[in-house]
Amino acid sequence: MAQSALDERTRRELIALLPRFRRFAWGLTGGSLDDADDLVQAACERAIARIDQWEPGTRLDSWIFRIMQTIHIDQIRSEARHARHLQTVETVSEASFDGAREAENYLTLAAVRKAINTLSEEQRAVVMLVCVEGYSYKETSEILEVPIGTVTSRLTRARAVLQRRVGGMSGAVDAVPG
Amino acid sequence: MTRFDEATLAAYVDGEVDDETAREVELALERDTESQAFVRGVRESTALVRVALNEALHKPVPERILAVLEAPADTGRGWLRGAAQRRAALAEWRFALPLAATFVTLMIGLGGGYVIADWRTEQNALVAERSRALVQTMVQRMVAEALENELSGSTVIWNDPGTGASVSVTPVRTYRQKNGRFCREFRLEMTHMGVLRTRHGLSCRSSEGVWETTHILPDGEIDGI
Repeated sequence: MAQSALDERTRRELIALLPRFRRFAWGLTGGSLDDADDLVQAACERAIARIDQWEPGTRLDSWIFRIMQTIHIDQIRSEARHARHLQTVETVSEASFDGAREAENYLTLAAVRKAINTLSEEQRAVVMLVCVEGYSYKETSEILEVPIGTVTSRLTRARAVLQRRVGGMSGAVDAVPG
Repeated sequence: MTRFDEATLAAYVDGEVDDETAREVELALERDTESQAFVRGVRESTALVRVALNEALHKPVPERILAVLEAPADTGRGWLRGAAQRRAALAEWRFALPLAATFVTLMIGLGGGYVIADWRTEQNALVAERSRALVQTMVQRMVAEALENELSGSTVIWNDPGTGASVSVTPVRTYRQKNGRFCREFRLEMTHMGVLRTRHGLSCRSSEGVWETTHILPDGEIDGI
């Protein structure tokens, strides 16, 4: 029944957006791509079931990002994964970021992802939407249903963390823009 | 001179300030090295985060997800069409803006520390320095050339029989930013004094036709010293 409400154009748009959904889910969950796919799948299922709640003319991707964020937070709450997750992250970061010198030598894409994992769930969602998906602060605040001030303060804190974690890169990368 | 707080500087990087504030920030940035460093840091970490997660874009979408969105038999997978559109956009851009690439910034991490650590004698240091400079020059030329002229997946290669140095550049992906700028990710392999190094780079093309490489990342698997 719900399936019939999903018209061909919307279905195609959803399929076209899948790579971006997976990237978002991957950043959000901070685990394997397989875990991320669980979230994408759940979000697609929910979107199809509730397609009548989507307002045609508004961005489909934003709506799905919101659904993913909601499901993700629900999962964390229900499975009480949060504490365990933080613990894991702590261990990982201790091992991988033993001083700026080492960061220089060992920093890889995977290490950047680890740095993202050290952010709180809330910070990560903001970073994913603003830095990765390129949403404006206003759009981000609408997707997450929080005030803009909350978006900017989460972003500021997240960036301070990222700066500490991947800032050691600048030595290795020797970036000189401009 | 106005001093901007970090939130404003970050908002500037994110394109969230109005034109007038942007001009003021730029003026302040010319003089204030601390703000410059902060802005550079924000740009850098933002680009790193983006590049680090892009891997997810390239992995095939599992059947179980496609099954949820079950297609009528005659339709293909939409995002392949997306790729075709990207290629078409690239072709269009190549037609419109040929041959203007020069490089303003490039950092490839062949730097001093490595040379000193691995080439201890003065003689070797000189040879290494010459080879390093040569590789660096070639990397700049070739990255610009490859990004401007090669389709994703094709590789340009340079070898120097004299020093055994070689450089190969492969654009891996092209996309268009919201502001219309074209960006390309590329893979870079450099052999310098017998050591192979692999890098992943991200470069965006300015409106003046300059490829600005914002990031070069080491490849952990090959280059995990």
